[in-house]
Amino acid sequence: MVKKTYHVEGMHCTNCAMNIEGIEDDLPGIKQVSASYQKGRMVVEFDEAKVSEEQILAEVGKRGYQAFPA
Amino acid sequence: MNQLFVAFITGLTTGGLSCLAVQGGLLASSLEQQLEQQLDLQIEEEIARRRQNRYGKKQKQILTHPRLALPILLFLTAKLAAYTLLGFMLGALGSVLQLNAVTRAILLIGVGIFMLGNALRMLNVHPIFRYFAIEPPKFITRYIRRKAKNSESFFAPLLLGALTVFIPCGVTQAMMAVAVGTGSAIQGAALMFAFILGTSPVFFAVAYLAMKLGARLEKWFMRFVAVLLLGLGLVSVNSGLTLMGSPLSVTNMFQTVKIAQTELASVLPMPQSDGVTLYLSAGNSGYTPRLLHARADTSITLNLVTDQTYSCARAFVIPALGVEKLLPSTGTETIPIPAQAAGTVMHFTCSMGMYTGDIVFDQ
Repeated sequence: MVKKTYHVEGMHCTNCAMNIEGIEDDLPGIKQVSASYQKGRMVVEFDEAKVSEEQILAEVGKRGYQAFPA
Repeated sequence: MNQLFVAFITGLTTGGLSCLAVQGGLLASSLEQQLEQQLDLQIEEEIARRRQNRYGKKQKQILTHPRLALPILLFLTAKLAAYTLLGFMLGALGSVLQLNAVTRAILLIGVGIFMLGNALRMLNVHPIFRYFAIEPPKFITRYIRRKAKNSESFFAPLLLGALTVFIPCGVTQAMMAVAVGTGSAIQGAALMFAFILGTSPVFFAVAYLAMKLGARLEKWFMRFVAVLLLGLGLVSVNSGLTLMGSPLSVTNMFQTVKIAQTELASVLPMPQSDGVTLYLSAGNSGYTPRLLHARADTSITLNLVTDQTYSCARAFVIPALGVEKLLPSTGTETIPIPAQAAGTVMHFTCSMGMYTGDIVFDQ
């Protein structure tokens, strides 16, 4: 299990953070996502054996945001 | 029963518009989140449509209509529940819960700063203003997301609707005083319920029509809401400053400039002020005359005359003296004012800083 921080661009309200956190329900292998609209970043705790960083960033991209490692 | 009907009608008429002026900013804040979320959905749908088109699939045109009625209803329901609870407490506990002028002024200034910060955030002035967005605790967002998947975000309108209980308009304050007077928790709750229910149609109609029109304009409307919030925020801060008697408020600065001008005629038939005994009419549209002349270095008596007055002018405040009086809807209330030096300008205002005037000690 690893914990990584990413910058997120494209958030313009607190609902966006909630929307991004929704990936923890959709991608198996993610333990927890904590996104902050105020800080413009998210912290993801995930199992590298089950899900890759690329998959996580792509899932965030699908929701209309751009995430990249902090 | 008759009292409840009067409370409902008061809410439906003066209460609705008066409260909208004071609390409209909070409603705009909650709807703004709804609009932003709707914008997100549209972006997602656009991305999905483009992706499908790339693979040659025909995609039906998706028309999204913001479900604005729901957040407005949630806002009003939370407000109704919060005020009913307040009525219950006021009825039961009497005047213990009444806020004094300084507390209300601080609240007004705080709410004003909150609105200004949110407006600047929406206009993307600087990322620092993102801290003005109410970020609900993570366990709540997680709960909401899982319990209400695919539904609208209802936390903000519910919370903000309930928060209006801390910024009652003048008419609401008058009604709160009546709720205290009932001396019964159930009657106090019923009275506030009837009054707030009365204010709801005006709130709903104005908000829904404004937002429905705006949904078509999307991004432009967001800017419109931001500018509206800016205006309301400034008004709120100004009302707070006026209530504190600060010479920095626009209202007080404007009146100081106007002091040389002639007095307005009184609307109520009242005895003439003679410099020692002053008469001031507190009507539904404010105080007349707005400028009173008093004799310096002498104790004076200020008589406040009301005649079927239901506006917030009934909640009379002289910030410099710490005087706060809830006037009867019809009658005369006497306030003694200690001797003041020549040249003193004493501001008076209603409890929300909406209606104001001055007493000049110069004779």
